[in-house]
Amino acid sequence: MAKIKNRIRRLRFDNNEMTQEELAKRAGCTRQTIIALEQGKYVPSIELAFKIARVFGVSLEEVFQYEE
Amino acid sequence: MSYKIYMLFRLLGILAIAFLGVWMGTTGNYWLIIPVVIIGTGVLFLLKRRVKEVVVDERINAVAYHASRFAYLSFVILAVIVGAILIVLNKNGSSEMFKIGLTLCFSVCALLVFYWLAYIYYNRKYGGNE
Repeated sequence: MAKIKNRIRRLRFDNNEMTQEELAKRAGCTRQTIIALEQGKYVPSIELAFKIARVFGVSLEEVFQYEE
Repeated sequence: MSYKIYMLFRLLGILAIAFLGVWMGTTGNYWLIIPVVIIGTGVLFLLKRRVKEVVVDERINAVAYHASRFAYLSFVILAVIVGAILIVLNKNGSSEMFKIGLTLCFSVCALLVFYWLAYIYYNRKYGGNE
């Protein structure tokens, strides 16, 4: 089964323990969406994925990994 | 206004609209239901605009999509089954139950036509007209 995993939680802590609320505000989504992403319950659109990667200042693949 | 306060106002607003709608329906003031629903929806819309946080994002839209699809399919299946049962059990065509059965079946037909039209529109909008 293909799965898209992410390192959002790790990256938040690496960025001065950024809160979920702060990330949500900067990425333009709700805190509930960040929670769902971290729990692996929701896969974001490409647009939101790029926005989150841009908040952390890293490439898309450093945040999201496609695993088969 | 914070998101939590907005959600509280939204719940109270929906309850108020539902209460007023039922009250006007039972007292016979049917013509007042439409303005109440329009005004209530407008007030809720204005409240939503005052929320500083992001209220609707793509996950909320995805949830709404799945909920709508589930509600649509559930209604179609249930209405067809109940409608068909009512029609079959009241074959003479004179009882109220027969009319309710017909109404349910026709409402499903109307819903399917709306779905089909909406599907054509969105299919074209998102490049599926080739």
